[in-house]
Amino acid sequence: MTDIAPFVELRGVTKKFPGVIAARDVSISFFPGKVHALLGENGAGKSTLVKIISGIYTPDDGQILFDGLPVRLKAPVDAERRGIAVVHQHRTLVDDLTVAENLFLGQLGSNWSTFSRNACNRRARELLASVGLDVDPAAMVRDLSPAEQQFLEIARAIGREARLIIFDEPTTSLTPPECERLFSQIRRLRAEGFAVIYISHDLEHALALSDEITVLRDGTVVAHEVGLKDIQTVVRHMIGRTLDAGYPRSRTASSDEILRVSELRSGRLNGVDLHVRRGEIVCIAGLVGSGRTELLRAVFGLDRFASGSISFKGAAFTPHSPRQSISEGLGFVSEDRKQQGLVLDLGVSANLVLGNEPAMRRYGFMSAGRERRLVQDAIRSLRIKTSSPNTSVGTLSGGNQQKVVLGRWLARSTQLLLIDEPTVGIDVGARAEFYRLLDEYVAAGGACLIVSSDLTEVLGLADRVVVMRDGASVAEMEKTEMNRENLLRAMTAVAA
Amino acid sequence: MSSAAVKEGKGGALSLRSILVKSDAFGGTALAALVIICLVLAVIEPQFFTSSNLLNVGRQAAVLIIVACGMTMIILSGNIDLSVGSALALCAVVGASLATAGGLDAVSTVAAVVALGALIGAVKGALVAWAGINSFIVTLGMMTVLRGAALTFTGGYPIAGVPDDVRYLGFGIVGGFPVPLIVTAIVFVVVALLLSKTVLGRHIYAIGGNETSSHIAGVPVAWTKFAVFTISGALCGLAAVVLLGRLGAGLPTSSQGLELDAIAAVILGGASLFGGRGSVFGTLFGALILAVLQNGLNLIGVNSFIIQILSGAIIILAVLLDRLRARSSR
Repeated sequence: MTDIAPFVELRGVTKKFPGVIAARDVSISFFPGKVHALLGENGAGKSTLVKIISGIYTPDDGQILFDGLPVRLKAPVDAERRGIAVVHQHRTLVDDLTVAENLFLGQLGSNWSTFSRNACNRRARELLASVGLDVDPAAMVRDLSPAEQQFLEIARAIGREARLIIFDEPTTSLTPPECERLFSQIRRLRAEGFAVIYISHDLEHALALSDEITVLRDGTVVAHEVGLKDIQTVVRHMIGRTLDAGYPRSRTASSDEILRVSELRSGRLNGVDLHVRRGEIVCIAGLVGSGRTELLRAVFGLDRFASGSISFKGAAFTPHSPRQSISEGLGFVSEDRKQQGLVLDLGVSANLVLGNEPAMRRYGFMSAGRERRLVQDAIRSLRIKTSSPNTSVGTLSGGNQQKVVLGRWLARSTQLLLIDEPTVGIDVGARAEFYRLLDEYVAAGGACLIVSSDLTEVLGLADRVVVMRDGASVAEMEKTEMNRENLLRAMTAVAA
Repeated sequence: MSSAAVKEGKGGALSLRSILVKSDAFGGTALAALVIICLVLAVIEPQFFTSSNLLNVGRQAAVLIIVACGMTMIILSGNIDLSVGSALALCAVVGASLATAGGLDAVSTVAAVVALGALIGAVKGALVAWAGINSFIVTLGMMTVLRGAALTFTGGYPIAGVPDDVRYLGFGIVGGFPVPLIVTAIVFVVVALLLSKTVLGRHIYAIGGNETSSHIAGVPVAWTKFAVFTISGALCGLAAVVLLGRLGAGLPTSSQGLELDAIAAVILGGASLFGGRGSVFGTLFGALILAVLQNGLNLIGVNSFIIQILSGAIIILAVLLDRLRARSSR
């Protein structure tokens, strides 16, 4: 490796925010033809580094070198011109433009120059072929699957003559076979001499894919290793201690049935039967599009259902609005906490009491004291890391944001929590904590119905699994029958 | 306001920056601009800083401030109302007619006008909240409908001869102090309390910040929108009473463009046009900036057409400065 010069190098880079040092004296090099995994918990400083390399943040101290020469990146466009491309966790494509138009967006010339659709499409076809993506350049981006969109982003990066491609949590919305395709694509990029930065919470894949890793903690580089493949070592570096068994189980299921869904049908649901008892965590496994989210939304009253019945706490229940469901004792944690969980501009405190404000009243007015007590309790018992209760929740890490959403429901005597993808985009340490909180909640008499795409999580978390396929519940497994193979078979309808 | 700037300094130390950031939640930038404008005017025009002139500014600004307080709630909730000027004109002519031809006493007239304003607001609110029509569309339509109604109601003529007791809220003086200013102050305090100390206020910020999240969390989104438009409508009715008092007549053509001044005041005060961020303090300062500029430039002898140009330019300038400030504090 010594004979290859790094493409991008950070030297002693420091970035401070009020009250937080997001990166502290970070030195790190990225070589062409190497996949470099950046690992660390949320808030460890990975995204800060990405933002510095891609020109969104300017470091307070230290140097950025491209091909050995110090540069100042004043704006993202500076970094892009020098060959940096980011394939984002949240896609940056324009839904209403075609594949080809997205590929060349920003490169079409000035607003007044003409452009040839044919030439555009021809060039697009070449680029798409180079990433093995078989779609029509004239297709609308909104009609593409998440995986196809991801590959489109890669094609775009190649089209812009990127030399360093940053993958930020690329696998969160991909199915296992799609992940495999992505990985082989990344290996191809490496073989062709691209430098790759790979950021993921999925340590297993990150380690398998990478040539070297850098582990960050609290903005500092705590480890840099070449060719390391041992997860336990990495986890120890990440959290600074060994992680004990991730799935505590202090709960015991009662015989008291809190929810029963019978023959539920709607546009996307095609006959769902399941039940949940108090003191029990039931997981729903199934492929994306199998109707898992639609089921939770129907039970919570966000969507209507056409036929079938729901009974809650032993009585017939026809949900028609979240308000009514909440007053009955239901809670819902969406998979998209930023769009459907939090009000990002508001503080931690306001988000914790969101929807529960009437209980904070005294003599008809909001009581600062009541609110403070509830919020301090939640921050303490859930160990939410925030510099103050009024810090806007958008600045918190994913794990802490998810705790705020959970804390909101725990403070409201919720009897059954419906959770969609509980730990998407949350790091290892925070996950274990979240599982502990769920266990404590259920042990104290609650119940959970959880949708998860992460089979490891399903196997660890569930007391019972219901498998959904094509909108219908097709199998149910007790703890003893659950294993990865059985689940996958039921999810994909492969005969045993 | 950039998100990073919201974080407080370590250990709660009151750095200059944290004070600035905190004060900005109360329209600190707008207040600073207001003070500077006043100082400049005081230096170049001795007439400006006299108590009689300042009271005059207040009297002229009263209607705008009352309407802008309602507009603040609407914008914070993520909506917009383009029809406040027309609503105010309709309320004013109906009020004038009730007090003259109708022979209603002062208290009943005021109550009826405020109720009419609330009713108009409720109709808009219902269309936005339950029919699910975008508030821009609803109120764009209502702007024309209500103006047409006011003109139809009077046949296009003003209704004069409003009795003095009805004019009290807009014209009266108590202890040397104009009554409309007292009315305005009360409205301001009530709206400020409503926004900061009530459940409704919290819900207004919440649905303006993220309607979907709020809905899932159990916030009564539709009712909140309905309440916001209804309250704002009632404030329009009250503003109509004040205007009626000042003019002594109901004019079907009055208050054209008032909606734009009110929106400008809210935005000058630092609110986000998309909802969720802003404060009624900022709006007050924003409205005063507009009123002071109008009055001061008038005193200096600037042509009123030029004043229009300057008022518009200052709105753009203020938002531009705010953006630069937000960028530099990142």
